Amino acid sequence: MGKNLRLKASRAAKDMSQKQLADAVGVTRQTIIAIENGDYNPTIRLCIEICLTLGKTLDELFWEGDEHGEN
Amino acid sequence: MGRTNLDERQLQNKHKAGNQAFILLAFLLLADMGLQNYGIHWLEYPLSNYIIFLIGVGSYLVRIIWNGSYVGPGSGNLTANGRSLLGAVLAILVALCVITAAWMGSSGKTSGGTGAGPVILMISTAVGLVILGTVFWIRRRNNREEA
Repeated sequence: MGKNLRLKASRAAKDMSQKQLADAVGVTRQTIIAIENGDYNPTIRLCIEICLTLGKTLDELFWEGDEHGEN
Repeated sequence: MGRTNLDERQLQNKHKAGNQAFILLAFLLLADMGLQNYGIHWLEYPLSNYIIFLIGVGSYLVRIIWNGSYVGPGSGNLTANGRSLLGAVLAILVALCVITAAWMGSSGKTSGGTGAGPVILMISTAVGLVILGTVFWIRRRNNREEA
């Protein structure tokens, strides 16, 4: 699982820090760091929370098909 | 999503560490029983059991602290009253520990006792202090903005 740069970019575009995103979705800052670094695979529930907070779709933030040429 | 409880990543890590610590504790207790059965007393009771307990619980605590699964996302700082109460409890514990150690040092072992009481009390107090310090450190780290 590689780094989730799209999540990082979307968060930066919203001018949100890791701490602010973590507070918004109810997790620790370390969990956001782990997701962005690809060290933790979040549940669909947390993915949806993050998408709703950042105003993105699941595909835009978490779908890896494009990156691996599968789509 | 809960803000006071551990989040999903923390819960997963905590469950994994808990399961492994339980197996470790059970294995060590069984090994101790086996050794006792063969007449090998590696440490006097109750210190032997206490050491096994410390290893099992210690490994669990260290792992969940290492994984960041000890303090949940919504755990804010203590109130002034909470801090005062915590300080008082700590002061009493440390004083009790020092007094007991000094008393045991001057009078030697109590009749019928093994003399392990002060050691256990001191280790428990030290572990308690380390855990409290760690909680404060985790809270500071989690509330820090990214670099």
